[in-house]
Amino acid sequence: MSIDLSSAIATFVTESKELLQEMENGLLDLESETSEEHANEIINALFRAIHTIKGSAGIFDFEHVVTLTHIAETLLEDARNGNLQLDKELISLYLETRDATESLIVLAAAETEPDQALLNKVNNLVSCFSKYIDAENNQIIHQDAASSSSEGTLDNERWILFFVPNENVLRNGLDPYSFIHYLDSETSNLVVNTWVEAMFGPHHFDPESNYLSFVLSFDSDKTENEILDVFEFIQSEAYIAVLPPKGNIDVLKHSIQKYQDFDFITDALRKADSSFADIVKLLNCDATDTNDPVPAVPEGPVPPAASKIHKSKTLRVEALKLDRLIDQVGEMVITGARTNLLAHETGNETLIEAMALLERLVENIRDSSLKLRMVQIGETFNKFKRVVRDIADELGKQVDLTIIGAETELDKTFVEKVSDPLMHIVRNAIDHGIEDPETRLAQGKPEQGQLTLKAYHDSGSIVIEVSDDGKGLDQEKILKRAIDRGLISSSQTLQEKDINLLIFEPGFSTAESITNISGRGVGMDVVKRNIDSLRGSVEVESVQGEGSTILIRLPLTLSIIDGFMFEVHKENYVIPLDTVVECLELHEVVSEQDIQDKSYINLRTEVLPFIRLRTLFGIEEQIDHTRESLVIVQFGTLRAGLVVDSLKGEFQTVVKPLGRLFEGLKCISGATILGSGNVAIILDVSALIKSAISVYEALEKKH
Amino acid sequence: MNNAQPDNTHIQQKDELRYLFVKVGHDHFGIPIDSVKEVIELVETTMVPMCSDVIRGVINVRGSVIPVLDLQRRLGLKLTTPYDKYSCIVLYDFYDHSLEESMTLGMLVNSVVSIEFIDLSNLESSPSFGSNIPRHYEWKMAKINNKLTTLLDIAKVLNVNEINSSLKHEQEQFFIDYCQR
Repeated sequence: MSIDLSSAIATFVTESKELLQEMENGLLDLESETSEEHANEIINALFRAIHTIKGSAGIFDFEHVVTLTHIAETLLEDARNGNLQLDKELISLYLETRDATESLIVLAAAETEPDQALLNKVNNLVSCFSKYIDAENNQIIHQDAASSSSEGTLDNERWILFFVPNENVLRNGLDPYSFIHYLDSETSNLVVNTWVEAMFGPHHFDPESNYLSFVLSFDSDKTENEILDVFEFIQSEAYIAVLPPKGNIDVLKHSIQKYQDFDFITDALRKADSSFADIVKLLNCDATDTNDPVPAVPEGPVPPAASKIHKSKTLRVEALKLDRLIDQVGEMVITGARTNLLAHETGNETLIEAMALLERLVENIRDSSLKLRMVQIGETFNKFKRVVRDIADELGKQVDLTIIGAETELDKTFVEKVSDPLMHIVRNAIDHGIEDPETRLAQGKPEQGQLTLKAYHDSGSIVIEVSDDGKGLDQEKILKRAIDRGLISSSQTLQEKDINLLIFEPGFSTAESITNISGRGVGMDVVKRNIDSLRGSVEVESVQGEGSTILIRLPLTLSIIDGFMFEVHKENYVIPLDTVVECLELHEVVSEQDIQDKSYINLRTEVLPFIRLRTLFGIEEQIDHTRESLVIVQFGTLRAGLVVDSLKGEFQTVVKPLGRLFEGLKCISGATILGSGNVAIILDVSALIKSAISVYEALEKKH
Repeated sequence: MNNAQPDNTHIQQKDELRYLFVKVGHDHFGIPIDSVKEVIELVETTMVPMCSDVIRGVINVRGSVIPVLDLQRRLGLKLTTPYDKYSCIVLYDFYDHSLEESMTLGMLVNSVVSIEFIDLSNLESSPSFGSNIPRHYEWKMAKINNKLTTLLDIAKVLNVNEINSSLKHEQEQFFIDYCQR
């Protein structure tokens, strides 16, 4: 009988990738972590990740994965027990292991054998790990030899096993009973002492939690390792210590602390082995004598729930299903608007009221379904920790990455599309921006370069900033190169910000030599293209010698927006509501004579240029000045007015693409279908204003 | 589209082409019928601002927004006839090879005349000069009942790339006109 494992394997691959990503983040955090408590937490998380991968890979018989993860896990266990310090070298080793594991898993899932290069790498890693482990073992043996030669042996005749499963074992699908049962079959005269008191504690009893801890005693002629093997699968979920006959008193002392009840343990030990009575007594007074600081410790195993690393519950949903849901919600919004219109036509008050309620509900559904697609940008940013580390190492530079605003949410489509451009920008910043340590010191800058990734919301758009404190852009060099490459003509005079934008032109690179990392001149044009396709914009700010900042501005969502509708020459137009600052009657702020030959007004002592849409759209016919309205819009730092015929107010807008025919038309960002079934054009406010500015500037230069 | 395939070969065997004849201005023109999705009456269109008059506007067809071309303007006819109650929008489905994308466009015509079966032997090449529309829009002339009708080279008429770049240029011009005013 064969079982189709393909879907299970697919799940395993995605899960492993996530775990490996977690592992990578953990390793990178570990490098900078100073507090021991946090470091331990991270190591535990690493351990769990490796262990899970190993376990699952075992199920599918992914032999290479198991070999590699097993040895990595073994060494990590030492680190977990505090016998080993994870230094930079080891962290690099683990990072390589992470990469190798990922490749192995992907290959194994595709049922392909890894190639020789990868196998060599794996073997290398394995031998590196074994070296560490051997070194470790020697140390331990030395320690053991040292301690066992002292007086610390006990005179027990039976094996004692301390077994404290933690609270979550049952939830994780492990039943302590089966292990005890198995132990029973492997050994003889098993005596089980169970501590059950915690079940009657003050907390509410949770049937899925484990409250039991055990002291087992038995006779056996097996070795300590063989006994431990019995518990191999529950190892990561429980405290397990074996006290062989004539065992070490340290094991006993250490183990006792794991139990919450001192009386129970002495009692259990007495029952476990009759020859033990003295020791218990001895321990008893020992405990009262010297263990004054100890009572604080035996609070039992710290439940993993206290872990600092926040785990929110998530549900995996296919992206396609989400897209379909949002499409349907979009249709519902349109139909809702139409129904509302019809309800108003009937003049039936109760119907209108019911419709208003329905409308509000639809709006809520729209908001929540759109939120489903929103993900935090932190995940994308975290990827760069590794990138920055690797590139900086390769170039012999020192770079510190700071992440700000990792919790900023944006549409999943954006996250995917923005990750590539960010990669190019970050590479460029490290390769061309940040200088090597010597140069930096010579210029009086700190040796370590600063790279900052920052995300935040700003007037209806999301801004992602990448800034470095490197040498900044050399504008003369850029201009020269651009002229050499024929991107601009030498007679052209450009503004500072336009010169900076030249770096996004295809085929442009000022790097003298081509490195592995950047300089080929592909890359930055990808940035511009990808951002443009998301209806976003890129800006560059740079101060020579002090560093540069690249700003990526993206709209909040792609599919449904809160719009503001107005009318120009009997046609409806929509602009994103969050770009609208205020609306005014034009004749109330300015008289007709005042704006006959100019296009700006004095609004509360501030200058406000405006565009008369009627004229811009080439409509000859004029309307009465008193009927015109002014919509004041803002995009980033740009603020301007739009003169329109009349205001229609807020409107839920489902953005429909206009298709290839209108692609690349700057001021028109899409269309939407109104309740009446008519189409309204969505205007891109920022492009409208920017186009007007650039055309004015161009005309200025001609005169 | 799939259904059209066997049909097509069937027609080929019979050495016959099927064309939809429409009236644009005062003349009749043939549009290959295989890709005509439907013909709808002239509904109110929404103007797309800052576009040349080749674009009549956009319409809502069962939830999707479809651009409509004014075929009189697109063919560059000197004398235009106003559209009336007989005017129709021909929805044309096609696959653009340069964009590798299938799309739907509407063509506004003065009226729909007939569906004609054209025997391949009745095809003649278009006049080398003297036509009222640019020559590259013409494919062949069909001779039916001793009457010649121009068959349009629809791939050229609906060249999305060309229209798109002219629209971009047009938009720029609107801004320049506005700023120079």
